[in-house]
Amino acid sequence: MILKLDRLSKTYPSSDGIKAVEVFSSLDLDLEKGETVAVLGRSGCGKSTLLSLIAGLDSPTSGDILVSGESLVHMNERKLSSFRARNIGIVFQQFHLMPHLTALENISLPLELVHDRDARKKSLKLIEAIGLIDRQNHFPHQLSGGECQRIAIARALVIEPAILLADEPTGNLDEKTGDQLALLFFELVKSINMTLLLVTHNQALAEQCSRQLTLKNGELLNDLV
Amino acid sequence: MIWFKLAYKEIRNNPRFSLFFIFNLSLGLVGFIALNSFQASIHNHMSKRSKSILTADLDIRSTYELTVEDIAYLENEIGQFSAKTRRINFLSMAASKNNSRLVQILAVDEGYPLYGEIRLDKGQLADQALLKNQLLDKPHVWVQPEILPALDMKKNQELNIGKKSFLISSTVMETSSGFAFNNGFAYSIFMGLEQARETGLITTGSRRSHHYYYKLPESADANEISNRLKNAISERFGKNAYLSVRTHDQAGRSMTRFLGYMNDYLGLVSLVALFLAGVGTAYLFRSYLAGNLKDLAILMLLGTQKRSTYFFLIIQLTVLGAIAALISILLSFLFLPILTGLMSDFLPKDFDTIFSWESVILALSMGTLGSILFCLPILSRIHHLKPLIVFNESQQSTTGSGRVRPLTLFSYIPLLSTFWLLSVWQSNSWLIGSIFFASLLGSFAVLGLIGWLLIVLTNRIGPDVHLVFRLAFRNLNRNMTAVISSFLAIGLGALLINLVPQIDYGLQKEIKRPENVNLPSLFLFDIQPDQVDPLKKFVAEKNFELADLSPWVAARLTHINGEEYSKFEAARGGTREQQRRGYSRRRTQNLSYRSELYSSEQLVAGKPFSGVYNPGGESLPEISLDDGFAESLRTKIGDTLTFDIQGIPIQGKIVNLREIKWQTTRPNFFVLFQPGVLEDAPGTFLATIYQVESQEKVDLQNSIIRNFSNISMVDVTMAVNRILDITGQISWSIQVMAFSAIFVGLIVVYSIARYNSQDRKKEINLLKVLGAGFNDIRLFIILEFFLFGFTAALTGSLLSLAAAWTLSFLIFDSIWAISWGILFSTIAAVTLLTLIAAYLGTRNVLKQKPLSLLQTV
Repeated sequence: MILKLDRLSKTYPSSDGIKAVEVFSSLDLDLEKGETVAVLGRSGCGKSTLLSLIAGLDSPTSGDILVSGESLVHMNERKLSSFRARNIGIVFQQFHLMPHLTALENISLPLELVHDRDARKKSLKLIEAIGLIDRQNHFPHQLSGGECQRIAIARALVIEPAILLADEPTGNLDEKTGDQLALLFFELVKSINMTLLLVTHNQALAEQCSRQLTLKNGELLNDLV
Repeated sequence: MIWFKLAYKEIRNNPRFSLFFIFNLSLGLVGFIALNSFQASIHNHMSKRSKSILTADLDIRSTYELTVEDIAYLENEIGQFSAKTRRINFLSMAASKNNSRLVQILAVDEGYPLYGEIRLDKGQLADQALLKNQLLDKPHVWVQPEILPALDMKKNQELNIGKKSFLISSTVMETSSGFAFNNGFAYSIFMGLEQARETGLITTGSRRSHHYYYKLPESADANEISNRLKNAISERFGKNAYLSVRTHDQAGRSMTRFLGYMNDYLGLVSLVALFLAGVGTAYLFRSYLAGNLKDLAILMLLGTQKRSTYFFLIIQLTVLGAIAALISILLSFLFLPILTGLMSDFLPKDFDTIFSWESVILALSMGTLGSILFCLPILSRIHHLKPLIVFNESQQSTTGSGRVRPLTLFSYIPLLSTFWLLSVWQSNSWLIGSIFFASLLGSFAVLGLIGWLLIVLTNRIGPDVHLVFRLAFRNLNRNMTAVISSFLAIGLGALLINLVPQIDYGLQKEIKRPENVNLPSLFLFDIQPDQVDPLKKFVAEKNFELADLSPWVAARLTHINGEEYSKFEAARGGTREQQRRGYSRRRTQNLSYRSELYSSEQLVAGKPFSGVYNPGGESLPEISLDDGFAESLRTKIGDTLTFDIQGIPIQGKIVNLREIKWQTTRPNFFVLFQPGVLEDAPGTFLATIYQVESQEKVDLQNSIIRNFSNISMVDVTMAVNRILDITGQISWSIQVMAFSAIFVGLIVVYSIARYNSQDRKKEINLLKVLGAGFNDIRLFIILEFFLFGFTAALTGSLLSLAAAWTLSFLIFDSIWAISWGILFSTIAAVTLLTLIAAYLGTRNVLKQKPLSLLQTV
């Protein structure tokens, strides 16, 4: 099992400090290797919170998160960073590329952070796979939105993570570019049998996943498949 | 009204910008405002106490004693006066049993002082009864307390001055006229005037000044009487009389002249701090505007005129500037005592600081107008703002294309002109102010260029360089404006704090041991012509040699090229150039003659003397001038000078110019005649004695005094140490002001780092999400700041060496030495402080959790 959420709860203290806001409680989820899961839900339902907990960016109020059998809850910040660098890939809605690094450097960035000696070789292979080998020395501001997101996807995949987390990856693109990107995205994911947890509003995009869940009132519902 | 309301809301809604803007500007203004108050305090002190400083309303000074008829003639011109008294000043040696020191004798008469007071030990006021009882009727003296340890003596012991012994009956703790600035070399001793005559030191040929003090009725105009007296003196004694008249106003101005000079230089340093703060505020405003151009475009879309948009922003700047000014006024209250403390050695004991309304008005106008002027080039962008940008996705396009437009260039003119005028105003000199302004701009340009080159070069590093270095270096390029602004602030600060100690180091080194020149041990003066041979013999018997024996003839310059020489009168409130020229163009000159040049002199123009002058020949006697002195007289080789020596005119022709190393402490003269001209003129001799060990020095000094009581001596080592003390104190005062400039520079870096930290937040969070460790991120930030901090400190320090060399070459006769210790410690300290400031500014983002990246869904 790649991902296991065990009775996961998250509660935020309210702004007045009296009434706490419960995002979800006792959430359970299991993801097997190669499984692709889409999480749908209205704005503010807790999708991002769920993603940030699985990415180890925030800690749950209770429960446990296991990625490749290792519990994130008991890791300190330093260990979490190191674990994330090797096991979790993330694609953001806003691309979040480093503006002063070239396309190729952005892809190799996570590998360089873990001192991988083959960083350049692996990145070149991936940039070729996404069809941007001729743009490798361009900076983000010299690329289109679609190209930026392709670079961001390659950056997430280059570490060959145990799980890929995607936060509305086509949300910042026009429909046509979004469709093209979605095609490439799922092609890549499936070609390497990657485990995917996708957070989206886009039903069409969600339908390309093997499972679709809806986060509503703090619970994961409608496990359709 | 709507614009005032909007401006108020804008300030409230942008607390980060508003606070940093106020913080920067107020700190930049503090030094400037405090110095203005200090200057006002000096003027206030001077105007309140000028009569006490002179001890009278009017002082007639003469180099010889006036006859009863002369005095009656002058008093007739004065008209009514309510009281009068006299004082004779001269230098002499005072000796105890085991020691001797050069002292300044103040021989006073009944009624002294007409204004002000003399405070003796235990705060006792020296009233007229005490003066009469102790000084006038008895051989007693009151001494400056420092003289007791110097002579190894105590109160109520006997002191020898000339041929007479005096009992030290009291010490003088304070006089309202203050002790003269040179009293570190010769402490003051008060004695009765008639008692002084019995020392045998008031003889023809000895150098002294006779003061005749007058107290005028309340209604009398001292300046008017002074002018009348000057004309009367000219009529009776001739234009070249050895007599001068001073009013209390002039005495006050003269006393505060040195403080005025110090204030000028400190003021210029404070302008650098203000300039750095301006760089910081301009950067902050630029960032603020870049983030708010869209809002302004929306206002324009709703029908707002550009004029109103300008108005809206100017209101904001004016309000922020006014708040900064008020804070700077409050901070100046704290800074003013520090400034007074720094200058305490040069200030009278009863000096009070005041905070004038003029300073408040200056602070408010500098705060409001200054903030507008600094931001004007950025404000000019509004001119090109189009409402169309509202429909653009990115705000990037709104911040300008990087193309410099004529309007932007034009908008720098008010700022530059104001700064130039401020420099001139602060230095009281068109020349110094303009040179300072040009140097500041030059340094600015060089630092800007180096900063830009650094960014360009670091941006070229290839992908093979370690990731942390690549991130740090590339980030410099991304934050170009921030980096260059910080670079300027740090570089200029480093320049300033390294400049003063480097010049000071060169001076101290040269004063202690001038290059290729041995300093004498003792400097002797007032040697009468008939004492020369006996003294030579006497010194030789002690196994020393009387060296550098130089005749010293007092004269008055009367004509240049046959035209009457008029002393340039320093106009009241005139520029420092006018004042300095006035002081250097004094009538009284010390002449000497010799055929050879000293090793401390160098011929820089003309030909050497032709030998001994032939009075029967047709040519005029030959004159050699110090090159700087010739320049102040505006004379050249071939010009003729006429001197009056005790009523006899002597004309000579300038045949050469010399460059003199004054720091060698040899008997150097501005004016030298060729031998054969002045030999018969009345005068005294100067001489030096070399290589006297410190333990032998006291014995030799004492034995000379016992045998030649009128001869005065200066212990050169002690004099040099006193000079070093004074230059050290001056240097320290300027240094503290320079520290305030680097402090402002660091605040600018902190503000920029802190303000930018929000922009950095995204990339730092991204690195965290991608798995970068806290240490890696910290290292990349430290590296980035280290790179520009170190380069800025290095560039600033190297520029300071160039500036120190130029100043040494132009002002201090090429005295130049590098202190590597100061240089390296400046670079290290400034780099470290930059790192700390920048790290503190970024720390908050380093510690944040990277959640915000995912909060878009």
